[in-house]
Amino acid sequence: MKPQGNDPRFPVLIADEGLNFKKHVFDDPKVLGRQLIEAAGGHPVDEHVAIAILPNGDFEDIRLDESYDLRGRGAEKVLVTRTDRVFKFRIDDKDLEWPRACISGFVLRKLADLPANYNLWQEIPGQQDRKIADSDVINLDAKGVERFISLIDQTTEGDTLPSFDQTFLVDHGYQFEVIQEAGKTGIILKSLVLPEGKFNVETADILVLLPTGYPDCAPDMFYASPHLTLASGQVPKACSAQLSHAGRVWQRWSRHNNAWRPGVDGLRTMAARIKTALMEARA
Amino acid sequence: MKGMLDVILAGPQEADIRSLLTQGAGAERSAYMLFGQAAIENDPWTEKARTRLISHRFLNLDDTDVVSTSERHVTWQTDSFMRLLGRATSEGLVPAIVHTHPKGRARFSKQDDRNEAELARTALIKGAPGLISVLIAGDGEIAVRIWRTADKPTDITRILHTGPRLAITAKDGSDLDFLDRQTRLFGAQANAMITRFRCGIAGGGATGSAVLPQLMRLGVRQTVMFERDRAEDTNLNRLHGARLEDVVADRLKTDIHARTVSEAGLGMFLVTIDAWAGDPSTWDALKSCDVIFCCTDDHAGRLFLNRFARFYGIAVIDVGLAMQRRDDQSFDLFARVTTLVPRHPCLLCGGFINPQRAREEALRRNDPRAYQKLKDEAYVLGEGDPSPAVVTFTTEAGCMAVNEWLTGITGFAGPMTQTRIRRFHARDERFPKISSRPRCPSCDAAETLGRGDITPFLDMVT
Ligand SMILES: [Zn+2]
Ligand SMILES: [Zn+2]
Repeated sequence: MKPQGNDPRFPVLIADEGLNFKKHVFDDPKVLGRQLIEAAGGHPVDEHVAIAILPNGDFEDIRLDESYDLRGRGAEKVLVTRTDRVFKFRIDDKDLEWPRACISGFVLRKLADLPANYNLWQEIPGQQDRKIADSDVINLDAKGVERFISLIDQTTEGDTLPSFDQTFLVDHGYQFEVIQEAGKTGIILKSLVLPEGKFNVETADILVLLPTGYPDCAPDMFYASPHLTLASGQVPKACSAQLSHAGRVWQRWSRHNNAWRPGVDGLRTMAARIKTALMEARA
Repeated sequence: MKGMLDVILAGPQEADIRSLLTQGAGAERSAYMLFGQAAIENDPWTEKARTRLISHRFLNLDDTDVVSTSERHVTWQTDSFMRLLGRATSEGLVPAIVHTHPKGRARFSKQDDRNEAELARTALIKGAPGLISVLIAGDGEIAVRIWRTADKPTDITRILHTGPRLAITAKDGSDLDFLDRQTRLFGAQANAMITRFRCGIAGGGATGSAVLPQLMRLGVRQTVMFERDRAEDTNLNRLHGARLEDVVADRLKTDIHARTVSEAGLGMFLVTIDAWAGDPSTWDALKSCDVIFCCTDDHAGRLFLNRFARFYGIAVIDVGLAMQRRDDQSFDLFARVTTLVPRHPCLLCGGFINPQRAREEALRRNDPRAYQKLKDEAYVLGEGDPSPAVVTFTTEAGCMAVNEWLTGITGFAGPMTQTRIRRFHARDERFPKISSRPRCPSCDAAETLGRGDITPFLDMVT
């Protein structure tokens, strides 16, 4: 919001704790935190803080006597809030607090430590949940704003993974990544716990290549990284071939699939087969 | 929701809509529905965007929701409407209300206008892309409209009815002189429907080249064909329209068929797409069809269309041939036609697709090196020798497929059969009994029927 034409004045949107944004215009491009608080009617001034809201949703405190430049930082949105209370809320099952009445989606994500492919939803009693964008600002003081829920983003993996697999993996706490490379879709089950004492390592990443036509077509074989050897030091049977995928060299476990029920079986079945194969591995 | 709109009513949901007339016992009755959407960016014939709405679920009202009803009105509690909207918006579906006019015509009343405008306003606020309204009159006529703003609804005048019987309700339609003898048999109404069908042909080989000229002479106006192979000399024994010079010129099969259509001058508009049916570049064109003839001998394409028919409520008529010489004296010569429409078991349940072959074919196309590697290690079935093919059998298989479609429209042999197998060597025809596997996504699971566009496409790896 740069000043237009020969109008020398500098506009800024200032919100109070109720998140009502009002436009204020300053003659000077540099204003003090104190001036912003006064403009929003924050009283007494020293119990309030002015916070610049950056375009990505990040917050930046402006101290009372700090001069803030309204030109060209893309931060012409300012929030004025009291500093004398803490606000409690939950993200999933984690109890958290925040020293301001308002919080942005970006800051919430940071507090929740969410992986990039997760979205945050606000639970609104009696209504459907609301998805929170980074730049959203939420008023923690409003009635019923207490709980946020994280949910894996359907669009990231959703491009390639059938819905029942998404549900299965998330419900069963798998960490996974879908990688498309050279037209091939692969899913990596991360840090899968291996049968105790059986191999040279305790966990491994397992890659499953999903063929075109999956889940009507069965995946064939699976791949491990790092290469697994039995505790005896020997390579398991039919595991000597290799595959390069997603920048890694994988050990191919040539285990075949003869009892696939097209369209009914999925990663649920595949995960069970992988576990069995690892359990039964012999030299 | 862009461009022209049309509606696909799948048999099971249309039966539910009709059941409201009897349920009401002479009084008006209402219910809800959910529709899937098929967004078409580029219609192959008009090159414009359009949208199809496909019946997905029918949801009857609880009796306790009905406040009062007579032959002229029905009043019901709308709490359930909010639940419908919640479900529609969370699943990306379009909500719909259905009601009957047991004594009246299929025309929306002033009362309907007022009532629906109010419901549409709420639906739009909740984030639904619109509110569909379906009206059925005592004489069985169905009218459909959609509210995309709360001010004014848009009438949807083209309805494709799919199931073992096929029909198109529409205002347009051409009277073609050259079809006079055909009209004498089927009558003007069925004949008009034949000319309105937009037909897809997956595969322009032996059977596809037999299906195409038949559709043209039946009066079909709009056809799209998917094929990427070129003519080879071993095709000449069965590829209708092909000339020796086409082989010399290494011509695309689609170019040969385009020539056949243009030389006939019967007014068919054929669009050819140089890709396998199932390739992302074919999705828009496939979604634009009213029926698709699956004339390919590959399992990967068949596997794709098997799901496609279910998700988009578009009839797929699949043709397969199996021929071999058993010994010096005897032959096995089979032609199979299977119709993929709601309530018919799918090709996987019938065992007519080999998923392992489908996987290998896809791998061979997408990653020939990896395919070769696995083949060297003997992990794939491989192609083996080319299968035998004779023009009389491949052509007859094409005729069987087209006739199955014609009986779907005209009823000349009753509804379409699920699967028929002609045994040329035994001079008979078999109708094997096939059952859907419970929860099969391609023929049994309720959540896949008419689901339309979702991510990933067809809920599968493509
Ligand atoms: Zn009415
Ligand atoms: Zn099935």
